[in-house]
Amino acid sequence: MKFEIDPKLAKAMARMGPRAAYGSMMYNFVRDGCDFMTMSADLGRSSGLERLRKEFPERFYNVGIAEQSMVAVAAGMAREGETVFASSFAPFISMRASEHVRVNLSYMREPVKLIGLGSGFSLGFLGNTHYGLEDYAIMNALPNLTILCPSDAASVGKAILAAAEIDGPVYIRLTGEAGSPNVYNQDYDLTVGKFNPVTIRQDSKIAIIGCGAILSECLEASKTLSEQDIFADVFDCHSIKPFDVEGARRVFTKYPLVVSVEEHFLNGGLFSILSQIKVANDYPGSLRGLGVDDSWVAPGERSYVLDQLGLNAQAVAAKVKDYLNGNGVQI
Amino acid sequence: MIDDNKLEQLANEIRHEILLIGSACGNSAHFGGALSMVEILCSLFFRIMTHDPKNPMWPDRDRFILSKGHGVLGYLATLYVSGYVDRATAYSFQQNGSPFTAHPVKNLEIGVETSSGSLGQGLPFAVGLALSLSKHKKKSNVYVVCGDGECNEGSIWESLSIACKFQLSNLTILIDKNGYQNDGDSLSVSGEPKLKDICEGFGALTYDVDGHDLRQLINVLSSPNSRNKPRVIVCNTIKGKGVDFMESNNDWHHNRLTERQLSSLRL
Repeated sequence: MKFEIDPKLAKAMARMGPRAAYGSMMYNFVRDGCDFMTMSADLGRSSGLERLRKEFPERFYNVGIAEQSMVAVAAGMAREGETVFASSFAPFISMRASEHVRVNLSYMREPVKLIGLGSGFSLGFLGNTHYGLEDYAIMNALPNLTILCPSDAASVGKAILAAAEIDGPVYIRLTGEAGSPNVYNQDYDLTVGKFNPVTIRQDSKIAIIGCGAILSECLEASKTLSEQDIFADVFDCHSIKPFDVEGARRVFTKYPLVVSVEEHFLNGGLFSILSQIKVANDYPGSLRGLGVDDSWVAPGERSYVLDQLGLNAQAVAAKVKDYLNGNGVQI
Repeated sequence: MIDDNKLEQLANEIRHEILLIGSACGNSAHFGGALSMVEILCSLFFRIMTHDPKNPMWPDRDRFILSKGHGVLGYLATLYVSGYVDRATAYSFQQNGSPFTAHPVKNLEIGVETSSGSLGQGLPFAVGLALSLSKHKKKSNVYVVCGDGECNEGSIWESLSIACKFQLSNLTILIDKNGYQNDGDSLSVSGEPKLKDICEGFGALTYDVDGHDLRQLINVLSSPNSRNKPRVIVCNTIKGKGVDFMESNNDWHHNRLTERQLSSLRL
């Protein structure tokens, strides 16, 4: 299946947001001949799957509000050779159904593709019960899973097709909301297990590594910094697992300051993974992590939460400057 | 077809192997819940299911899922007696490096369709198998054995609801209702819900049988299911069936069978 991002598609998908984009692209892929099955636990509408359900009812299974059983049912179907994409809000997939993911996907390696909808703070006023702040930490603890975090709505299509190609279970984490900015307006290669360098300059001394929709804040932060002659390259860590260990080596050995930014608890998140790699290999330089510290957040619109936690572009830029100036990081 | 007398003999043989294999491992094993489902397994593997021990991955086979994974001794003994595994493999049970531990580990090459042991997971997996087989109009049936204690798990009821919604007439759920669970008798631990009535309420086709009566089991299992409903067969059984000191004695949920105890049985 050929799928390329162009400015028109990127704009249209960004307007829809990643959840609706997921449903819309699944519809297109099925219409164009992909043998995908979709499954939902009473969140078909929230997955943008209404059109697919209406026009291809045999490709949509609604199991009712039963996430743990959905995961195991999807595993049974996958065993019989189906390519099943099962979606629900991120905490319900990663925690309510966690042990079913462990046994069916991780231990038995049934190749189900899970979609964690509305992760991070994407669900705004729905609050902490619906936020996904620990989903990839949990999934990353399980062997055999692949974990993908597309950074904008159009990239969800890339992640779907990458997941379908993988002969194994996959968790795709969707972050951002309708209207969240694009990271990519042109096509790019989403290579599983590799960072994607989004902005690179020869003379940069800082690397910012982001994961998911927060990457657009990272790009904006890099822009703000460049206006002050501080240059930071931005890397898209769309694959939490397999992690780009070689990419991490290159980043740590090239950049004196590396900053990770994530819409997730710091415990067990991107910062933890990078710290582990850095320590295990005695890589030089400084690593700092921006994300959610060990506490619950005051819910509200995604932008409000990002502001509160110092994760918007301006705050990220300010933190990077702080690290340069006051935290003993030598450039 | 194996005649009724031979079937009785096979059930005895499975029961004996449960005791011999379980004792040979030298450690505690789940005897009670293995012995309670011997006739269920015997009727499925030797009369009802379409399968071929020489070709365990035959695509047209019926699928068997042991959802109450701690019944592995009964499952292993049946796999051994029916020819899926050799003697050395059977008697490696609960030895370091063995494919057979206290709970099944997926191993399609020797007839083990799923890893189980975490209760309430085999049934939803089986529902997925049945859903896919039914969608592709395959003739294979799916048989699942759950425990009555296992029915405490919410995912059992989620899955039954899903199975009824999708009208999975190719799915048969056998509940080994031996009346005990880890901590004691089911009534005192978790209450005693009317399983047949509840399953009927969900929309399943339900039956209530003596789970040690091969004829009753086979009658129900071989009756055609043309009702677009999954079947639930509540099998009334005795935990530890066949060994006087184990019967309805929950000390034998998980215990060590010594050589002296074994020899007293004169198998």
